[in-house]
Amino acid sequence: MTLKEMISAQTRRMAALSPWIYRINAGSCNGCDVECATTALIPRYDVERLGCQYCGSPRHADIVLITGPLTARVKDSVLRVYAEIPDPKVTVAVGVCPISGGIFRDGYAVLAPISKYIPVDINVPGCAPRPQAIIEGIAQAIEVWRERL
Amino acid sequence: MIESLYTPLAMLIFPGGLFALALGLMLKGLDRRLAARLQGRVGPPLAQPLYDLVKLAKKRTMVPDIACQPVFLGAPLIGTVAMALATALVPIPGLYTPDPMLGDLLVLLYLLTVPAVVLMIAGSASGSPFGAIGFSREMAVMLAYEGPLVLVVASVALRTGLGQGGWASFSLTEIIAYQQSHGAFLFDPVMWPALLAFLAFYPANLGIIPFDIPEAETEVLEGPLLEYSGPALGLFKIMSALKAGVVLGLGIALFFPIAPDGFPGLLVQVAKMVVLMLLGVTVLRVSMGRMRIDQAFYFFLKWPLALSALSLAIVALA
Repeated sequence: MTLKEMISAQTRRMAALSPWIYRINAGSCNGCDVECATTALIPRYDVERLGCQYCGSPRHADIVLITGPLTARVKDSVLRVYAEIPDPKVTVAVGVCPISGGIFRDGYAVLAPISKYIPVDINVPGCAPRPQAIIEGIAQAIEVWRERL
Repeated sequence: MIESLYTPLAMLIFPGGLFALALGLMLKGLDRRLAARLQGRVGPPLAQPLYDLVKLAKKRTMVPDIACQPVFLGAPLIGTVAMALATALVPIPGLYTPDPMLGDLLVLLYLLTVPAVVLMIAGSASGSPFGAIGFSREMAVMLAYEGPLVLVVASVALRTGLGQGGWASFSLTEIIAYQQSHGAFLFDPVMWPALLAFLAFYPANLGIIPFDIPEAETEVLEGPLLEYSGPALGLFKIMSALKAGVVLGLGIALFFPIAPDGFPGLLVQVAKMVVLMLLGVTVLRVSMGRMRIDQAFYFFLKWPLALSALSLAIVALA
């Protein structure tokens, strides 16, 4: 193994330890958002130990958590914010709404599933999913992200 | 030959540049870890700021269409270079004395304002409305804390100068030598108001809660940094890591530069910085909420300004 390959492998290993998380609310009822917040704020479920950090700007993000069934009103904004996130990025659908529409699935204003518009890598079903499930989803997303670096 | 290399080496390797960067990243890592512990969490690994930098170096830098590209990409460079220069100006008592040709306390004061100015320029060049809000808030905070800082530095300089039988001395080397022979200003009641003012100044300069109003993530989405991504954002992180070392080093030089000679002096310096960072920054930011911009502005115009002016007056009259 040449020196260059070794450096590249080391930097990839280190970079995979710093996934920053950004949340997009695509018309969610806020239940999943509260559960996402607990993964960072409640002492028991500390997502920062994986190196994660919730960031305020989509341009800083590596892993995107999308909640909500993608309402028709919010679709354009969600796609635009999603496009602002620099590559490589990983998408996690949190809650049953982005996966199938959940209890809103037949609503006239609901465009779920979200995978019709955005490539989703990890699904975390639940209404709302437990914080442990969200953290496991993030951990799986980190594995995917490591491959993409 | 060696003497001509002294200053460039000081800027790039030790005590500036690489060493200061490692020190600053370590301070940031300790800060994040202790903050997590105080909140009852496990917290990130100690080297987390380094991992963040490596990650940012591998990402793509996006420039918004409406941004002024040369200014947008140049601003973080200017800030980082200014801070690398400033690290070479901060002495380490007992170990490192900066070349007097490089500048004294006044140059350091000017360099310390560069990061705030750079953030203002970056925010306005990004074309984002949040950047513009960050610009105005950064300017308000800076105007509020610069005054007390200048008065603190002036009273330390005046105390040293009068003690030596002359007029104000703006050489950090002389200030340190005076304290090492006459006792640190930390234990000098005349200097306590200035010390309190400095303790209020440095959290504001480092941009942490309760004074992180320009970059508040929950209100203005990190303000000036909103549009930055990848290596350009990494340069801002390097700048703030270097700034932590410079500001804490300045505080140590002004108030408590008592240290043994040689390598133990370095260890003592690092230990003092860690204590200042953990007590003055981490504990403060986990125990307080963010102030509003007007509260922060009035706070600085009321207490630190009054305390530092009082200190200057006592020193001048004593």
